[in-house]
Amino acid sequence: MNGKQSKAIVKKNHPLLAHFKRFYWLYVFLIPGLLSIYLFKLSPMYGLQLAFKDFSLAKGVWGSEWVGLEHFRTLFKSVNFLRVLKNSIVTSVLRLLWAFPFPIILALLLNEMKNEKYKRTIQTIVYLPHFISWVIVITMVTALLSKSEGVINTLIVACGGEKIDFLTSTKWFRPVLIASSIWKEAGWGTVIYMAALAGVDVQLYEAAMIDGANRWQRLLHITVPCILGTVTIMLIMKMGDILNNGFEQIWLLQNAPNKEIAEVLETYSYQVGLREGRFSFATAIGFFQSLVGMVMVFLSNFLSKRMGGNGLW
Amino acid sequence: MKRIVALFLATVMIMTALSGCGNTKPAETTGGTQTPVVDQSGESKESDATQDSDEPVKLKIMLHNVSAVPEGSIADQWSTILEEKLNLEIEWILPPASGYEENLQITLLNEDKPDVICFPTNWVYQTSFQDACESGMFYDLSDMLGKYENIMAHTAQMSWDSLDIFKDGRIWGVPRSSPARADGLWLRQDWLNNLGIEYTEGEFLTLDEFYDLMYAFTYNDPDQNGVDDTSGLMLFSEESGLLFPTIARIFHIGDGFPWYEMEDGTLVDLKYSKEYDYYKQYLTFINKCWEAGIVEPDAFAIDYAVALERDDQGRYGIRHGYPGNMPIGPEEGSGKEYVYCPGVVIDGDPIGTYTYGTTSTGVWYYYAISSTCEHPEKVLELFDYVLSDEQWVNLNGKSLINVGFTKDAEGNYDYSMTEQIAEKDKENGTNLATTSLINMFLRRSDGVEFFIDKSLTPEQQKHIADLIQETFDLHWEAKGIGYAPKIVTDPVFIEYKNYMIQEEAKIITGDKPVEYWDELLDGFYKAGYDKYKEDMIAYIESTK
Amino acid sequence: MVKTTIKKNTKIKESIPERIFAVCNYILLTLVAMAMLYPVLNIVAVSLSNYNEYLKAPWIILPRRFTTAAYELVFENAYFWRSYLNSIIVTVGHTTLSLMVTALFAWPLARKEVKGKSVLMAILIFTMVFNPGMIPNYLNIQKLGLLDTLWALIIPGTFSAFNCVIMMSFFRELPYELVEAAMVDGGSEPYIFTKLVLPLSKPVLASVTLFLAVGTWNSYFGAQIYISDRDLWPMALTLKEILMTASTQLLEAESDPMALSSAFTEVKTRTIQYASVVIATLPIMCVYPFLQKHFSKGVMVGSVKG
Repeated sequence: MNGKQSKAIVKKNHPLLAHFKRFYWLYVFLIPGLLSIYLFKLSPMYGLQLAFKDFSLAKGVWGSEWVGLEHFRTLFKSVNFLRVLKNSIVTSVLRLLWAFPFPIILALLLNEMKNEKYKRTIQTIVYLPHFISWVIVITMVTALLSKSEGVINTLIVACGGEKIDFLTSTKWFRPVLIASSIWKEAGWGTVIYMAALAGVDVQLYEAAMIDGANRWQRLLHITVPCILGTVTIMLIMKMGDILNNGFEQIWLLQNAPNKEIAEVLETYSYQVGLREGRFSFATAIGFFQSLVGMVMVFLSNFLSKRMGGNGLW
Repeated sequence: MKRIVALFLATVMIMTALSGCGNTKPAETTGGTQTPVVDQSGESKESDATQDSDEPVKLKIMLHNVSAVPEGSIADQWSTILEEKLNLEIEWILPPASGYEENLQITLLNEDKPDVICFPTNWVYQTSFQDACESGMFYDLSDMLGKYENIMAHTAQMSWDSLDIFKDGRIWGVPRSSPARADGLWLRQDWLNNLGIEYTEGEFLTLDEFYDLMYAFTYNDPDQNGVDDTSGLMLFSEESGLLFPTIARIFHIGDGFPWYEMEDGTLVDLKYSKEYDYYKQYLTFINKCWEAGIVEPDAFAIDYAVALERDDQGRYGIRHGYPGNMPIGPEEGSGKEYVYCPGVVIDGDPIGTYTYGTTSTGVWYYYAISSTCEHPEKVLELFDYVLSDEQWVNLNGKSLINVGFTKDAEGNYDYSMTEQIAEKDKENGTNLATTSLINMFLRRSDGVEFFIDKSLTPEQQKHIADLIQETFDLHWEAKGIGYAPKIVTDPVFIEYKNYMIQEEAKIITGDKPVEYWDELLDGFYKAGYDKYKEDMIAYIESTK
Repeated sequence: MVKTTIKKNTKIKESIPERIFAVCNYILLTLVAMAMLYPVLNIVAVSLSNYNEYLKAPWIILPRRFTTAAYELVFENAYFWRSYLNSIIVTVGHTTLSLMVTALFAWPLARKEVKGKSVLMAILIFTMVFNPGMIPNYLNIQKLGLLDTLWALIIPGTFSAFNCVIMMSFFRELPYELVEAAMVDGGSEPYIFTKLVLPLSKPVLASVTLFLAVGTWNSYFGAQIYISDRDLWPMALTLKEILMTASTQLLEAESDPMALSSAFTEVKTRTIQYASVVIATLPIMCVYPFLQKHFSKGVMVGSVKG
């Protein structure tokens, strides 16, 4: 049977050999990347088994005992888990609705600016907040929204209103979170869209103008379709992160009164898992997040292609 | 373009290679001579020690909260004295203080561990540390310690108890030990003067007086600037999400919720007790303060650093505080001046006085010795020497005698040498006045003296010493320190405890009535606290 | 050339609603920019002010009682300069290496001739979504002998799935006729890639360079775990120490009087923190203006259709 098959392969291989002969360079190009993936990404992946083991420092990753789905069972059984999962999803979806479109709009508006110098200045300014670390940003947010010394509350009182509990109420946590995200990252997010916009062929505009298309029509029929590919790709990749909300920002904004709404999987796994040195439990939570992310990437990629857009592959 | 990139890359590679090599070399050599031996006794290596006794013994010591030991600095000179005296070669390993605990987890996995590792106190409860001890990553010191007189003489028994992690007589580290205290409050003397309120230092306040004082400090414009910008009490959140226990301490709820033995011999944890209602009293009182707006309204949202900054702004009339580092006299510029109040007493309270305990009693950091260390006896010798009378003058002065300070026959200290070094530092951009290593390494746990700032006048020192002594006296000794029932690692238990923190906040802010606490307690007992309690009481009884 | 003529045309043709839109657009973006500029100005102003003045008015955008004392203090820290050098080495090394590795990987993925792309994509997505965790990563770096060297910050993660996908999607949009034409002319693949594809991809290369450089400059986690020698710390970690130790150290030291008083001296006042922020971020902020010209319109026109 083997003989037969190999013969068949040799015959079939002919075009394949020709293919390699012609395009071998393209495969050579892949080597450094593959090497890096293997050395730093795949080879430590065995660590994922910790999610199914009871990790003990002494026994190491390989020697620790298997516990099957024990950690996942504990996770799903917990009183807080469903609430935390819900918070993660809601926060993430809110980010997707508010924070995701913001850079796109900003990039499109910037693109409409005719004065090149002014545009560059604005562009440079909006990307500045990205460089300020969350610790500083949250310190500023706290000072701004504070009940005792905050400028916003002082203004509200001056206008005859009542002080609002921005920092420690469940009602205001999400707006503050999303707003601070947009403030810090929207400008930075435009970078990728500006690159895409730079790739739009100027001749298309020229042709459209000769045809008498106005600004709005040009935006709708040339600019938007041209960056739609980038938007789709960014969206699919965001879907992979649907359960990830980042740790630092939420951890710093979270406090006892707003925790009911604020706690997400990252902060939860830090508190219940890592604080106690319970790596297995933390790994299990991470594994669950990744699994959902994987499914979401495949699903959104499939949907995107189905709807006639381009996917990742 | 390509050529430029290539050239650039090459330069970078060479540069990194150079800097990389320079640093791996010493690590490699030490790694080479070290044979990892997981031997508990340490005897087998003693022959080694005598064999090459002329060669200095290399020790790597990992420290917390020390940011630098610059070459030639006061701290470095001190370290050199230790090295020469004991024929050692010490390498201080100083990981980032902001991520120290992550670093510890990683260090436990490292094959090439430092010989001595400093752990924060709460690590005696950490599963990973317990795991590491049980698997022989650290020496059990119980049999070795006996001959080190200074270590034994200047470490409190309760510190040893907390390092007896498995409660079987084995000791897993050398504690940085010191007496436990019950801190009081700092009141703004200048504000008291402005408002014409009489207070004599050392007097206890009643709960009503305390409330009225906070009220006056909030609403009567104590800083007389005509703006409503003050708050009665400094309050902030701990990392757990709980409010700092300034007010809870009045109700005897100690730091970390210790177990006490009551007058009648029963053992209780006052926070979670169903028999005593001190915690509900606390919740009622703090809720009253909260609604009156006389404590920091952002307390849940700010941490200690922010609270301190607001204190710098002159916002708070009262703050928790330890008399040992209370500034003396009015502060230049702001006129800020403090007076120390030892505590607040509740009317009709059977306990009768201001007192509380703490679970972390006796240990502020401890040092474990890795089993890969070839000369554990050398480490203990070092510790012993640092705690000896010869070195006590340096520890006590928190600097190096005749380098950082001088001391005359009457015991007066003079720190002008340090000032001169600091001046020069400013000119040259160096950091030679650093002494934090001497501060942070080890200490004696007997009495007040260590805690007094030696740059004060003798009268001031005496005064502060009395105040500190009172904090020692007011401390309520906690029971069962260092013991944690098995249930504490149960996720259900941990989660309910966290859930309670979030629900408790609602009682404080008035979203839920105080009676809600009973409901929470029931839930907590169901989540495993009944077992915890049983275990704990059984343990404490067994140690009697 | 083409561009300027278009501009002139549009100006003439612009209708009144279009002009209103343009004005509103300018106003709106100016407001947005001001909102984003404010905190930056605040940080700079505070870092140059006297601490007591800052306490009186924390929201300032102009320095009060101007002083450079905070900067002098920061520069006194010997580690700061060393960290600068380390950060530059790591950032330049990692960015260059990663850019090359990733671009080389993305180009075949964008080519329809290459076989087995779905397998590669699966691996790519897998490594993007799944993370082995801190401990296995650490053990891996240890096994490779990179601990306590700057290599530990340069080599790992040279391949970035995110950047690869971005480049790949850009490469796909390139006019394929050009590649075909070059192949017909007998151009080798390396020639096509370096002489044709890369010059055409300046906008995406610029943005990925920016992501890489800024990301590397700002990351401290690797250094915190892999590097125990303070002489090898990058700027980001030194900065994090300055910003974070204030609260962690104070809290930990709370019950310990001696630690507390030493923590008090270590605690960096806000002015010093902000001065450190300014010094630490200034160099990487300067990268952007150099890359910005590649984002401007029309890069493709000349080379592709010309």
